[in-house]
Amino acid sequence: MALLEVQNLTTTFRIGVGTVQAVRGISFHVNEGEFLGIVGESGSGKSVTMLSVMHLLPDYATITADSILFDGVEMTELGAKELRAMHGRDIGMVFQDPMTSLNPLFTVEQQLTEPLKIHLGMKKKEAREKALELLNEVGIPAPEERLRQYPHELSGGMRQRVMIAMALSCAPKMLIADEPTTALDVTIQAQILELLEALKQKSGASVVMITHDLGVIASMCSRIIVMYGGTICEEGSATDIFYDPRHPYTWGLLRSVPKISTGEHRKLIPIPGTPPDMLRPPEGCPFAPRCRHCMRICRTVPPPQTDLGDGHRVACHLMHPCAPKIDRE
Amino acid sequence: MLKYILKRILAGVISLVVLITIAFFMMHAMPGGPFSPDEQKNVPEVILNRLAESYGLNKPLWDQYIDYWNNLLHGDLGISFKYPGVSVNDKIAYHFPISALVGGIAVVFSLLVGIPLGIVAALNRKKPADYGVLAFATVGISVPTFILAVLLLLLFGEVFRMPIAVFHSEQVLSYVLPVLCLSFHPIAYIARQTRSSMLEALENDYVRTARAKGVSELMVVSKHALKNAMTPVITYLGPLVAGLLTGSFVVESVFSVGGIGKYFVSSVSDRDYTMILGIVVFYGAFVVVCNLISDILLAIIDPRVKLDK
Repeated sequence: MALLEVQNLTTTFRIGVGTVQAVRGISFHVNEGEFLGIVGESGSGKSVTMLSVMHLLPDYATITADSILFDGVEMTELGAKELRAMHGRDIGMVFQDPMTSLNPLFTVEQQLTEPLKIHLGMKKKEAREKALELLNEVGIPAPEERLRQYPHELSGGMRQRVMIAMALSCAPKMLIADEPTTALDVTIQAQILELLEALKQKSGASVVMITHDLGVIASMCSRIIVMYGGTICEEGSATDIFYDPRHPYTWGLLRSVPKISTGEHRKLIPIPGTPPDMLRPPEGCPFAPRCRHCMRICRTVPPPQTDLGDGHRVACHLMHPCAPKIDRE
Repeated sequence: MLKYILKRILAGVISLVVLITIAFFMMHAMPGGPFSPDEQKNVPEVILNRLAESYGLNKPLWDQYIDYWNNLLHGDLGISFKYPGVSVNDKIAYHFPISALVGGIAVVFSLLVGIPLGIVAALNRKKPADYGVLAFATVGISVPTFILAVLLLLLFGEVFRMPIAVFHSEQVLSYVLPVLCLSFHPIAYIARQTRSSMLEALENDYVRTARAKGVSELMVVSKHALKNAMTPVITYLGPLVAGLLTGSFVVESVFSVGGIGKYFVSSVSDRDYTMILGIVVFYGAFVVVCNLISDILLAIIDPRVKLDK
C-alpha cells in the first residue's frame, strides 16, 4: 500500500534571469515500510522533489501538484499550521551536511527535545529521558554528556547520528534522508547506512533515501527511482535497475560506478556532456543531448512512460515497439 | 575564563598607560598653555608665573608626568585648571551620571527599536517594509548628529511646542530629544546589521532543520535564527555602550544636558590639563571594560567563541 502518492508534481524557482524548472511534472509513490532510493546527479531534482513534498523550499519556489496524498491526507489542501504538525511527527528528515544542519548555538539536548516538546507535549524532564533513550538507540556513547554538548564539539558522524535521532524522535511514518552520508568519510558512511537500515527494520517506517551514489542504494533499497533533468527516467525494483536497466541514462550511471574489485587499472567511464540547463530545459527527452542512442524524435517529443510490468517503468523512446533494439552496453 | 578576563584587563591597563602618555605629551606639545601670557592678556605676568608654579607647571615636563602618575595611582585626577578648587574626580562624579542615564536610555531604546526593525525588514525582504527600513537606515547613518539635533529642536519646539530650552533631570519629557538624537544613528546601524545577519541566518541549513522538525515560524525566527543573527550586534554593543554612556558633546550642548560630554571638547580649548587627562583616563577605561563585557557576552551566546585563544 502506498504511504505517499504524488501526482504530477512541478516545482519552479523564480530567479533573476528566469524560471528554473527543477521538477517537471513527476508522479511517484512510496510504499509503506519500503526503502526507496532516489538517484540522480546534482541538479536532477531529487532533493527538490522531497523538499517540495515537505514544503520546505524558500518562498521564491512555486510548487504545484495534482495531489500529494500522505497516509490518506491530501497535503496540497493543508495550511501551514497543519503541515507543520506533520513535520517531525509524521515525516522526519535527515539532511546532507550535519555540520550545518544543526544549530551551532543550541545544545544537543535543546535541539533533540524540541520535536518531543512540540509534537508529543513532553515536559523538560520527560523529553530529556526520551532524548537519552534516542541517543542510545542511534549508538552514541555517553549520551548524558552529549546532551550538554554543542554541535561543534561532536564529530561529523556523531552529528549525523544526532540528526537521525532527532528525525526519528516522534516515530514518524516516513523518514526522508537527503544524501545523509555524502558529507561523511567512507567508514562513517557505512556505519550511518547500517544504522538507518537497523532503525528502519525496528520502526517499520518507510525510508526515502536521496543520493547520487548507486553504491549506497544497492545494498539497502528495495525500489529505486532514477531522476534526470527534473523528470523520472526509470523506476523499478532494485533488481530491475541493477540487472535489467532499460534507460540509457541508467546504463551510463551504472557504468560510471568505479570498480576496485577487478584489480586491473581502469579509467573511470563518465557520461559525456553536461546536465541540461533547467532555465531552458530541452523540449524532448532531457537526456537526448548526451544520449548515444538519440533519435530524431528524442529531441522534440518528451518520451512517454512505458510500463514493463511489476512496477518497472521507463521513460525512453527506445521502448517503442518500432524503435531499434539496442542492447545495454 | 578567569584567566582570559585577567589577561584582557592587563592588556587594557597597558593600552591605558600608552593612551595617557600620548595624551599627556601631545597636550603639552600644543603651543600656549593655561597660564601663558598670550592668552591671559589682563593678568600680570607675575601672577601668571605664580599660578603656574602652584600648579607645578614650571617643573620639567618629565617631573610633571611622574607627578601625574603618582596622583593617578592614588586615585586622584587632580584639580581642574578652569574651575579652581574643583577636583576632576568630583567633576566626573557629578556629570557622568547624567550622561550615563541619558546614554543608557538611548542604548536600550536603540536595541528595542533597531532589532525589531531589522527583523521586520529581513522577513519582508524586497517588499515596501524592507525598503522603508533600508531608506531610514541609510538616512540615519549618514545624517550628522548636529543637523539632526537642530531639526529635532525645530520639530519639537516649533511644531509640537514642547518645552525644550532647559534640561531638567527629573522631568521625563526632557529626555525625549537627547535620547532620540543619540539613538538615531545606532538604531539605523543596528537595524541594518540585524537585517543582513538575519537574512544570512535564515538561509542556513539549521533553519530548514528546525522547520522540518515542525517548529513554528515564530520560533524559527525568534529562537533559531535570531540568536545567530545577534552576534554582530553584540560585538557592536561594546563601543556603543561606551560611546553613549559617556555622553556626546553635540547632543549635550544642543539640548543643554549637564553631562560630561561637553568637557570632551571644552577642556581642550580651556587648556584644562587635568580635565583633559581625567577624561581620557575615564573614557579609555570605560571603553576597555565595555569591550571586555561584550566579548564575554559573545562567548556566552556563541559557545564556538573560545575566550582563551
